[in-house]
Amino acid sequence: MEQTDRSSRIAWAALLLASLIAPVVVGFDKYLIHVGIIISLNVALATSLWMIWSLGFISFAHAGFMGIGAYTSALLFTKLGLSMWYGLWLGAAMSGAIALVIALPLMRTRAVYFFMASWAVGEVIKRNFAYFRDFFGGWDGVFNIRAPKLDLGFVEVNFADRLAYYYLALFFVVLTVLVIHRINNSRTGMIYWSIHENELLAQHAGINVFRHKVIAFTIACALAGLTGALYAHYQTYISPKSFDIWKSEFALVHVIVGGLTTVGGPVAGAISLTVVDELLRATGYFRTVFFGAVLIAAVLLLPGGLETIPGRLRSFFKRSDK
Amino acid sequence: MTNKKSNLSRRLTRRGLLKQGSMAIAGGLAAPAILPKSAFAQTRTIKIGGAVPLSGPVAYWGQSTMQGFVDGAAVMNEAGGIMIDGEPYMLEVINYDTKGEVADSRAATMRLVEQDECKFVYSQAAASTVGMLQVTEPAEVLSIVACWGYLELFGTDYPLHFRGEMSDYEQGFAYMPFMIEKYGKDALKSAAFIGPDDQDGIDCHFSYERLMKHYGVEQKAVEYYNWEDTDFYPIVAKTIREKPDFIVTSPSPPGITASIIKAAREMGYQGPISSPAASETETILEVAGEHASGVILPVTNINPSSPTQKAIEKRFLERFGTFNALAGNYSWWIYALKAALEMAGTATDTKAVAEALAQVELEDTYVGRTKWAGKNAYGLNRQGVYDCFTTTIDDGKAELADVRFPDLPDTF
Repeated sequence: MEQTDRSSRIAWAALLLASLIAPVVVGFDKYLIHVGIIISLNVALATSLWMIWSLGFISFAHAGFMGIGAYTSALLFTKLGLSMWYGLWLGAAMSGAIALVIALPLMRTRAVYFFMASWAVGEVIKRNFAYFRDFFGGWDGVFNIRAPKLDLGFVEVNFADRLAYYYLALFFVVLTVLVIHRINNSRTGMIYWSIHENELLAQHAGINVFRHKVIAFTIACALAGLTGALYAHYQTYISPKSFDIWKSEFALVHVIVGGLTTVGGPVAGAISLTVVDELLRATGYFRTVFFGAVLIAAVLLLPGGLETIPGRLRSFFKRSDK
Repeated sequence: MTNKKSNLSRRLTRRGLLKQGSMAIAGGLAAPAILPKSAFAQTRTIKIGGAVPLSGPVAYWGQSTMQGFVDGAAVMNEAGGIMIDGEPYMLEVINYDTKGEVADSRAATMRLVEQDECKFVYSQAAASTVGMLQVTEPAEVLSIVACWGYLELFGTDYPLHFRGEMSDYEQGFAYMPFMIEKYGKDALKSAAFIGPDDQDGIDCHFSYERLMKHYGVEQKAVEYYNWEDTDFYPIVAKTIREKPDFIVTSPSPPGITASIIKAAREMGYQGPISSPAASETETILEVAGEHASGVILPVTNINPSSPTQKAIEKRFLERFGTFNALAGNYSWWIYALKAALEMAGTATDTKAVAEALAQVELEDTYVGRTKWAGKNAYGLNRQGVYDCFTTTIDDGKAELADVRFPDLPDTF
């Protein structure tokens, strides 16, 4: 167990180091830095979705909450002139607040009913962005959402520069993963997994299941909102279509392919599938077909997801030693 | 024999197959990234990039657009390339999929501009255009697209941005005169609009409103559907309750247009139904069947008749195994770009090429005569206009009924 923890820490440190030096490794190729930013955003979204999964729920509203964060930050900037530094936190707070209200009825549902209800919530959020045209910009969306600047006194960092934004996105994805990792490894995390395993039993053990479910859902959605704000100021344009059900589905696929039992799963899934999707871009018409084949292959050849690879390798080498 | 068999079985083990298969897949994945740079390294090349929806719900439009560029480049390369300032240049077309999404299109365009160093790009449909424009104008890259809406992203603020496809607005100045001739002005006093519930639908309704105002047609109903809808009877019922003389469905693809036609006819509606975006007859005939009558399809040349049109159809069939009128409509863009490059005498100064492109007029393309217009409306001549081939479907039979250049107003 100790060895596993040590290996895990080494793997996380290696990943962080690789992320920090990645721009140097790719020769500061602007396009590959863009891919790095997209990976960061996908990791953050998939990880926060995984947090809801740790309760045993699959939410299709997640992209909607990402959208709330994105729209909050975008509108604060375009209508009030407040920079992303406000938008990030207010976007996360808005997503969290709305999630809290919605979670009260939503978290009383289970299984397929939760699935359907979360799908409806995501769709209603998207439709609201489209319907209230004067406020949200309708289907037209919101343009000119600029990245911020940061004056450190001795130097001013302009995050419109892609390299700077890469490190900003990396900082927030590390923060998101760290928060979820800490919660998951705490007593609260164990409570979530006990709810995941058997909600009724957890309730009979004295756990306030409903409260924990509402709080976890709220935190996960707030983190999705934070990711949304980062997304908006990077893409500089958002529309209701940016946060439709497909966005939630892709995040879910990242979680499933990566693995469902540890926070490393969604991280691995989001990194690998974003890279695969990018490699397949040039295949044009066959992109979706190949992507589907890769997904099927991943599920069939790696049951349990990418997170099981280290364990499989350990077993393999142990067998080889004998 | 035994040795042979054992060799064979050794070669065909599951593990071996998986290993070789994965190597082949890895090679296949790496090839598109490697080939474009190596294959053309020795010649003077102009790279033209396509950030087009090649998968997803609007892939049909993206594929059709791509075919025009791939075919045109092949024809020009076979003829020795294009001459710029006395030097021959070959054309290389690189295509990346956008899935018809804004963020994906932005990413694809970044790759084309930053990695492949394309100075000329093309796209298809509104979402891909919005994503593309965020990259192309700041990078001074010339873009040619098919996009009907987002007019705030068109004109003097986007001087390198051309819209090669006539929108429903420009088409209207050809199909409305034709309909007035066919049915009589008194039979076309009022109209209704049916379109998708998104920005494309809203923009097309805006164009429709301007058009109907120009022709003095009263607007009786406006209905929007969701892209996921399969039952069009409710909105068609609401529309025909207002008793419009004719219906415009825009920008609705052939399947949805056919469903609207079928619903309208089954509920007893007799007036003409015009679809400026369907550009195809087979699906409409298949889905609407005996109800396919009184259908007006502008910019749909189902009967290639000139030598140029026939040659394009033949080449597309040979090269892609398929040909449709929409692909024919887009085939002139690359020829206009070629003329502009030759006229400007530069393959790198995109501003000079844009100025030249705005002056290009072609006489003999799949869509007949083409030119760029729109100066009075948008401040620059950046909107493609061309002969509008209008096909009609009556009593389940499609035929090319009219060809005319849009009678655009002076304000355009």
